[in-house]
Amino acid sequence: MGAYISVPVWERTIAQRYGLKGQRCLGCGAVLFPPKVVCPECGGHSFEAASLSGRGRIYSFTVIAGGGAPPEFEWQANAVGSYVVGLVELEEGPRIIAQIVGVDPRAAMAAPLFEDSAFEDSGGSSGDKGKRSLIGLPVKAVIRKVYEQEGVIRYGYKFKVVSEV
Amino acid sequence: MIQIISCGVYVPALRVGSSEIAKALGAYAGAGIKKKALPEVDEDAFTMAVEAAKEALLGMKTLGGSGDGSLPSARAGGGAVEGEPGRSATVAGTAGTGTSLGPGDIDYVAFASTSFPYEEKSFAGALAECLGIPKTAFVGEFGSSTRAGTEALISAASALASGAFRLALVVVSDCPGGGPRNPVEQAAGAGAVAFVLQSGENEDRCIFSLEGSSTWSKESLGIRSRRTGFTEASDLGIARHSRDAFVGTCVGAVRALLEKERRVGRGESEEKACEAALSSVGSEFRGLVATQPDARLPLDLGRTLGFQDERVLPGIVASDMGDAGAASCLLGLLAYLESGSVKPGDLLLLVSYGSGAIADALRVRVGRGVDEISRQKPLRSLLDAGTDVDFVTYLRVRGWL
Amino acid sequence: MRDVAIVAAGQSEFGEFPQKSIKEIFAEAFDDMKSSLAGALDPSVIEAAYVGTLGVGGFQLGQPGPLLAKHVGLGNIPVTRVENACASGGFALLSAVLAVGSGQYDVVLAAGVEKMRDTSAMQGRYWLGVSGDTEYERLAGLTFAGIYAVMASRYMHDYHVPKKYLSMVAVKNHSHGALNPKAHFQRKITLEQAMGAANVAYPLNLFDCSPTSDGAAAVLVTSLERAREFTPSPVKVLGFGAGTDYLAIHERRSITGLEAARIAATKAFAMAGISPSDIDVAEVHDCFTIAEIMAYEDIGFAGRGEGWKLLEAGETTLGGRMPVNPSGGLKAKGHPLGATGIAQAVEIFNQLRGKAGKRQVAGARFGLTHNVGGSGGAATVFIFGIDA
Ligand SMILES: [Zn+2]
Repeated sequence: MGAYISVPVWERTIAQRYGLKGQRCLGCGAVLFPPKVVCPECGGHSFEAASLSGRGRIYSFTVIAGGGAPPEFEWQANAVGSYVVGLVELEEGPRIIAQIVGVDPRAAMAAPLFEDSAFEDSGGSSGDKGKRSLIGLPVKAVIRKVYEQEGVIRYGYKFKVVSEV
Repeated sequence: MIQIISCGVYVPALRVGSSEIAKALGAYAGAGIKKKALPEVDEDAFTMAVEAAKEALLGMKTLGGSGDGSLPSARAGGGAVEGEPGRSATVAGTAGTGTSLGPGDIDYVAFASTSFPYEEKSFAGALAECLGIPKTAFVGEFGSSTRAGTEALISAASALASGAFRLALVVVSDCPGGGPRNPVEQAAGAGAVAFVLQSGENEDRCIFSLEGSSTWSKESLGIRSRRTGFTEASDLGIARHSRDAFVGTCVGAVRALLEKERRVGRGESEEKACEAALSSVGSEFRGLVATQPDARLPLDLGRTLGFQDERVLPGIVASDMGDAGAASCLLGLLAYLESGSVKPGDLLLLVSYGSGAIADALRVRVGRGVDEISRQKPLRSLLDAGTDVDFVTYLRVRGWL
Repeated sequence: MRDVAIVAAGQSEFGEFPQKSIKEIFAEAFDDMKSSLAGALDPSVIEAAYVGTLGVGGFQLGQPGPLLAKHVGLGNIPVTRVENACASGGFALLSAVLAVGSGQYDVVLAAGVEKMRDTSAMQGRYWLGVSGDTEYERLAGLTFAGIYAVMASRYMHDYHVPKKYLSMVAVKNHSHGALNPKAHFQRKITLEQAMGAANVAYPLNLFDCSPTSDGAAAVLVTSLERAREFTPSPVKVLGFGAGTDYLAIHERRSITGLEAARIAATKAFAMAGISPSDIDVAEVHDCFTIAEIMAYEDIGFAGRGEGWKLLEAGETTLGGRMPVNPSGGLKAKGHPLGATGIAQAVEIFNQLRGKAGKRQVAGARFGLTHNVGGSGGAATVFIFGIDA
């Protein structure tokens, strides 16, 4: 019952989950992820494969209270309570939803959401991450266990906050 | 010469202090372990392997410009765009200049762990997918004991030496564990290490080279083992028996290495040969690195072989990350290399032990690239950077609460 | 298209009725609708019906339409189940309006129903996430509240909005719900309560989220020509619009507003020939508090990034310049998914006829409903007026 992505369908997206394989529109050059059949920028239908760097910045985020996690994530909620999910804007342009790992959910909730000058590249020091909003922080893609269903571990991308370049 | 030209390490971020475990359980079984690394709930041997391997591949890429040309490159340039399937992936996605090695050039992968997430299922495809290694690469897995790490390394070295393969990736990732009261669990840490190997003569990019190896085995019962279908390793807990198996097997491998290379002991009694080997080994090698079920056994082995503690300590990582299983001796080797206590040309003795019992001894020559280990983060900084968690959090992350 | 009106409207009590069946709840709304008529309703005059429902709990995933239509005594007429997540009701109404407007039918039922409070906690969690992009949103661990929370974080970040303003939506709608005898929650809350509730999906806490509810609603749609056969005071459909967008928020250019709702509103106002400032009362889709603030902007009550400021002055509170969600909204009246879009029309129907009791907006002439499916994958906007 409810949401279910079968193993064969999940497997078909392995190139995306493991390798962040996207596509580049041959019409306008836009990089798209996950792959599409029509370019949202120009309406084009021709693409070439493009690998994404996995580098980007947190565009927005939430902290999911463990008690309300989707059933697929109950094991995770039981183990860690709350967890962070972000909307990441990749360097190449696409946005992507994924969990943000290695961040203390309490610190993420304690930081003000809109003191944006504090987390520009040139701005805040990397030593006080606890007080900085996650929005704007640089991240890189990592592979983690996403969930397990029908005895199959489903691995895929999540993002990890990295120090400012 | 089998050269290691790039390395990557990964240590999960969480730490459990041994005092935290001792406080909760009233005892602690990991000798010399101050704290251990704890994988996050969504991490396992596979995810850690990917992290370490990605770093090793990234390090390899930075070598590109200074290429010695001895390796045919599969790709000219690079870039983010996929050309042909399986040849695509640059990890960094930027265009390179000159001779550039990429994941697409790797044709041999060895993956070692005692804690693969599946007992039956190859992770070949998974690693290849994550790293952009061609699906045609040979991939092997090693995992029946903590000796698996050097087993993988030796297999890769042999493959390269044969000339049948050009560029090898060895990934050793482990997160052993048992139940909350299991002594193996108490010491159990986690970590991963990855190496890119080639056969070559240009020493500029060589971090270290492998000059020889030997294996020695002996039937030994009742020590750490995990029977089919069980998730927990067990140990009968006969401490002296386990220690003797460790030291005895390791010494056997070291003796075999010396026998092989200097023909020590031909015609002599086994005991005399051993003594002869032991008397010379401490002076021949700058230091000793060994498998670390805890932080004390390598020191015991060192004393037996004639190494003062200070020549063993730079390679001890278990004190700060616990027992990293098959990865422990190789992480220890990297710790030794980055410790500043070796210089190019030095020899290190690397001894890997697996219960059963079996040991590998390897002659490791420090290379000119040792000062520029092209890793983003030194192992030591990863060990120092952990976040301490309390006993309850530890149990929750393990999934026991 | 010929003129269309609503001539009768009703809803069941919204709330938690685990032992009531879907049929009972539906019949309650149907009877309430009938009671809004001066005389009796002969069910055989209804020529077609559209029933909005998501199907939570899986009680009747196939053909709930015929099941419910026959239960309340409709003839063997064409009945269509309409599904567009939380906008199922709005799209059922749209279908009914188009069916009558086209001239094919004169009398059509538009209804919606959902039964959500009899499922186990685990079942409930399954169902609540089914309207995002399953592959790429839910399976990142994102709940439905989480999707709106991601929008809220960015909205608050971009426009420097303190959390207080989100909570003010909850306080306002609870104060309205306290005046609605059919609301799920009929009690006021304080700003402190609203701000201090437990986290659900930061920055949204428990009081930023609408409840899951049991409930049904029904309206009778007729041609304006024949409306007075049913009532002396029909409510005319002045305009309507609907839109869609990428289901997944990571595919959208902006996540601080809902393009589908903007398109729907623009079309509805163009058709009605009035502007947002003409609206006297509105029912908007406040599934989460941030959604009401974005609705102000998407409809045109406020400029981009300015919606939250309407709360400061109390302009959208009953007694204010333009009350929004006098029924209590999804937040307090309750949110039985498929019923919501119809129930919004029920409230506006009552408001425009001066039958809204203690929460009556005095002299309301133009009313608006704004119904959103999922996190903005689909939306409808209707503009209603009294047929003088
Ligand atoms: Zn395009």
